[in-house]
Amino acid sequence: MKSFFFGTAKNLYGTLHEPAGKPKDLGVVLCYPGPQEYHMTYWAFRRLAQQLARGGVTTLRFDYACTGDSSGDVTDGRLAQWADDITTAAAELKALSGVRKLAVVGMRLGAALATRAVAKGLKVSELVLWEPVVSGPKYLEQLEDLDAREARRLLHRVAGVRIELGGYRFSSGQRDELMGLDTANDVPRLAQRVVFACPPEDQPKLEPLRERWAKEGVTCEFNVTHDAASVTATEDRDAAVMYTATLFALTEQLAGARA
Amino acid sequence: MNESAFNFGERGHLAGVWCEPSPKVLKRAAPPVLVWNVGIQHHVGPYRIWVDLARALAAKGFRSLRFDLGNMGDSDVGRGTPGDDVRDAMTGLEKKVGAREFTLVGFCSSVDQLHEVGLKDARVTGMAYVEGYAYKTRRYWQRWPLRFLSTVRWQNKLYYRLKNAKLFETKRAAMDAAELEGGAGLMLERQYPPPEQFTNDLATLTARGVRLLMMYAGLDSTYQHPDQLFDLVRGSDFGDRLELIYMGGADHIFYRSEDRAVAVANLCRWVEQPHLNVAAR
Repeated sequence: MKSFFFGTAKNLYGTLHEPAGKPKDLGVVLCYPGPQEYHMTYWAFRRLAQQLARGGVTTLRFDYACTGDSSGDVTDGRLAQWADDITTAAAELKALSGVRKLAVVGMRLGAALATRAVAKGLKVSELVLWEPVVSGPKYLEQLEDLDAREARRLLHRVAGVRIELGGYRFSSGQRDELMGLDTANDVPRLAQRVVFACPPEDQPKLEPLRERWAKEGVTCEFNVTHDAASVTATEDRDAAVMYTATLFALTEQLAGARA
Repeated sequence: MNESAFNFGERGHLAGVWCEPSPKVLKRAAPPVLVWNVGIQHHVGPYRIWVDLARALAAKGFRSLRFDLGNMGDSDVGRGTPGDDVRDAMTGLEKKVGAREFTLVGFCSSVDQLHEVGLKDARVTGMAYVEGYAYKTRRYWQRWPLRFLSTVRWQNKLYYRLKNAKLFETKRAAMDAAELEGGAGLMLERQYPPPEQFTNDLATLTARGVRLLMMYAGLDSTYQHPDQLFDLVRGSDFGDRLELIYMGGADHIFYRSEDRAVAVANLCRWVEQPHLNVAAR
């Protein structure tokens, strides 16, 4: 495991997981969810990266600008910038590892961002959309629900007007961006394979997106796995610690075997 | 300000982010500030609080390292204890920048390493306990019935009773799964020092000249009265080396950004205090 800052301004923080044995000619970029769900999923991402590396796949996980250890204040984060960051991270991974094939795994908002990066020109052999955010307004509702629950758990009174969300200040610009987000509009034509990774209950919700992209000539598959909890269900802010089966399923899909 | 990745420990297996102020404001003689995992959270801390703290400290001229204990966050598996990892961080910075003294900041479960290391290691000259050990004193119990007047508490209790009763057990089972990092136990299996020992430890530390900050939140915390700590340590003399801050409207993890901003400002002021009249050099 090796952490470093990268990008032209050295503003992005990433951690590279190198394979212990013979490396496969495949690198994976892991794309975190948005800031509000980042802390919930960090644990699962570290485990997934370790499993993939054990399976011979060089894996990079990184923080978008204005999140985690990367430069900037969270209120300055923008979707377009974060999608560009994925492209930057993919180039960094290729340069560091020499792999020719690239897969991108994005979770929740990270899936929407990864889709946008591919739609804008990033070529990938696999695009894995893990419990993807499809509708910005729906995602916003889920975040507000999570925020209300968390605030109540911590004994705060939930105010009517929110100036922050999920523990972070949340600008009107960010709200407007999410309200306009429709992942279906970003067609990932440059992905050789698109896979939805989700719990069984989410599959019907993703069917309309699959059908819409099918009309655009993009075929999507499902990797459906049942775990004790999912971040989408937002039952608990630590929900991601309960992923195990999904991590194995993704490792098997990308590394070819359980690692 | 410049931030860079920093590896340390016997095999370089421990990782963190070293945050250095610009040379114009750098207070080189001031001890670097060290922070690390809070429960299962990696080195950025809950809601990025350690990133905010590091950058605020850097603006005032202070260096800091936010890092992960072995087998957590961006650190690999090590052979030592979590306390060893904190000592390795200090040793690593001795080699990197020649620092001889350090300020440690613990938060919730990470006060366990803070307390252990601070007591034994003379390099530690400042210790901040954020939501650290809170003991149920007489005044805690006097205030305890007031919780029955809180509608938020009732709503909360009802919600978790109805919807999430088995959540903790499920989470615990998941954390116990063999694939998970060993560090999870840090959050779930803790032992407070007995109250008398804790009081004696604070006296030992202040007698050694260590500056102490105790910062508590009041909402969902065990700390329910501004002077709850003084109830415990009544009769002990810590001179001017112990400062207590009570943030009654904040919750245990400083979920609200304005509470985090106040907590960060409190920590910065406390770190800065002995160096107020020292020019940057």
